[in-house]
Amino acid sequence: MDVVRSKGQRMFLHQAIEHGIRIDGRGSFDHRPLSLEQGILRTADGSARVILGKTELFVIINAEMLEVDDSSSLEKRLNFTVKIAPQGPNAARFGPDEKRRDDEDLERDEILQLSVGIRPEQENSSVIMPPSDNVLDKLAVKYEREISEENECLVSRDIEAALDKIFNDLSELELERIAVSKNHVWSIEVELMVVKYAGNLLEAAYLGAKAALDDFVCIQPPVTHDTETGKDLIGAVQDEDALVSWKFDIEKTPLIGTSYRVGDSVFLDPNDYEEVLNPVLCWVAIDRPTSNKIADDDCCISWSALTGTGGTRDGIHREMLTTAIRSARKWDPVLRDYIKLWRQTKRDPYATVLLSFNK
Amino acid sequence: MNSGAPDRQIPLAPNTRVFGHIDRQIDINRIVVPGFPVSSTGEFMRGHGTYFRNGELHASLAGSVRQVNQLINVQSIKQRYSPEVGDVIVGSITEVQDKRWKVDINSRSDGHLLLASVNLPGGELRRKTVEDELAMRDYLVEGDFISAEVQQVHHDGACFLHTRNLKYGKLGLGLAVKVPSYLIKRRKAHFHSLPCGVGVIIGCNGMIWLCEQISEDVDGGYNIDLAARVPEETLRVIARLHNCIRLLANHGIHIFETSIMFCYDLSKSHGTQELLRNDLAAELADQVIQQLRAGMEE
Repeated sequence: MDVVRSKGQRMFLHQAIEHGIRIDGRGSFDHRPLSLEQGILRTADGSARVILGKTELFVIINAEMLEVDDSSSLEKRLNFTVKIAPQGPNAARFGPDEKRRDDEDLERDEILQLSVGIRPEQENSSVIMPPSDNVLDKLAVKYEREISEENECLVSRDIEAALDKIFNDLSELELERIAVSKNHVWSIEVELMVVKYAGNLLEAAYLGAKAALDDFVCIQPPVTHDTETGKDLIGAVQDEDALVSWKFDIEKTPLIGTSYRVGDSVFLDPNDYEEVLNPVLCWVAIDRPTSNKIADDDCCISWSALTGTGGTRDGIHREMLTTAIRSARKWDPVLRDYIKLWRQTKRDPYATVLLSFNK
Repeated sequence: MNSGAPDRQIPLAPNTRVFGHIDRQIDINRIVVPGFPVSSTGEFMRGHGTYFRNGELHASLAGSVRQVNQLINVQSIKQRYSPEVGDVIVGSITEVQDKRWKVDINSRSDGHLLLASVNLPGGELRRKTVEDELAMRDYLVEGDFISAEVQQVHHDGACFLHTRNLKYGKLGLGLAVKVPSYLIKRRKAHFHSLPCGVGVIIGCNGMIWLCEQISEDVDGGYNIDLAARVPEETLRVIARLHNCIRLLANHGIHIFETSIMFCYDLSKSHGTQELLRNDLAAELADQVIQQLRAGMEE
């Protein structure tokens, strides 16, 4: 049950946000406690777990070798998928299941009617007739359902698109190394599993993806060329010392920050109550500023996007951007501390990790 | 606009998976898990939560063993809320039907609130007319929160509520906190005006309502001014209380006005948002438990 449903509670939350005294005691620009772990799933090639307040998600990276005809002509990208577990607070916001109803599929002769204008009962197929009413109704229902699904707040799709943009277009990761040989390419799937959605999913997903990419180790197997078929072949690694592995340099990814707006107030990191108010989201990608003394305004923004219903005015837009930049710069030292911590502690790759789930 | 306060560092939560470790001094022998043998002799009668196997009684639930004469049953710790007559409920309206509302009370099925069981403006003894039936939506709509009392529970489990008392009715500006219902004890009073200056309604179904003050409205909450401004100090107190109640719930401490006030007073030395940290929360929970125990022993 969504706890915040009554008008009285919504008004209360609005006032709390306006005053900057939110219901969990934070100010407008305070984040919830963060817990970030790397390498928690030894069966995956790279993994991470993020807990931001009550929002919890797992990031799992797996690499699969694909045989292709020509790897140089392919676009080398990381593939992001976001899945949301169907329980937890605010789970109902994720739209219906993607089950296609069979009776809405168009039959073959109906498709013919729509495309070419031929009805099955016609004898003379050279006469073009408009499609029958039944077929038009069916098409209308199908389109209505598809449009309403698109319009629903499909948060997972937004997150996938944002992460795709951040890590493929806006960063300078060495994605060329994914092509192992002319005929082989790694297909890297980054899967984010949201265990609990309690607000501020984009920042949590970004941090998790970064942590998992830092954990991910990719292998470059020995390549030989088969002159008969003209194809490259992958050899097995005979000697463990000869294993060539490489990692992504996550310093090459931009800093991301998100800010939210409800009414005229801009704030960071909504919790599960505030998320139900449907705040407008603004996220920015900035290059790392050269020093901490630079004001928030003085950053180089490489991308910014607004999502959510409700537009924004000029003054508020600038405030949202500045606040988002502030958030991005706050995350930078946090992530660096975590990376330092991970590098220092030596992990036993065979240690079993106890995963316990919070309530 | 909160421009004056300096930016706080994002707190790094320590890597404690569990909500901090506290020693509760619970006798492990009294708690059983499913499959555990409960009696060695076959002379006991089988109660709820047990089953016979090889002539022995075993537990089928996780909980504590109770024995009444020859009857042994196992009472589970975590159960869904089941309403009893006289319970104070904080719930939300899910449906508006013909002459009744359905209320979500966090139980196996929704509660029913009949039109005849509410106080409408005009006094308690007003006769409900046809216009009232049509105007039900003017009073309570889907999503509204109410406080009510359980009037009766039918044998099939259907629960009927009423708000025929000045203290019950529609709830306006405030905050609802959902906690597990087994942490709420049934007490004499569920409406409290705490000394820190806010009102709290502790519903037996696990919903706790925090608001500026408990008011007794003749109209049953019909005329609520949603544009009223809540003073800043009240917002601060409610935020702290919210965190305290979450803390008590996360650590399995019973929630009643004494435990809430203990937690509130003990937390005064820390900032409100520090209570979100697991390690600090565990420390505070420990202190609250000790203080409650000390209070009980007196």
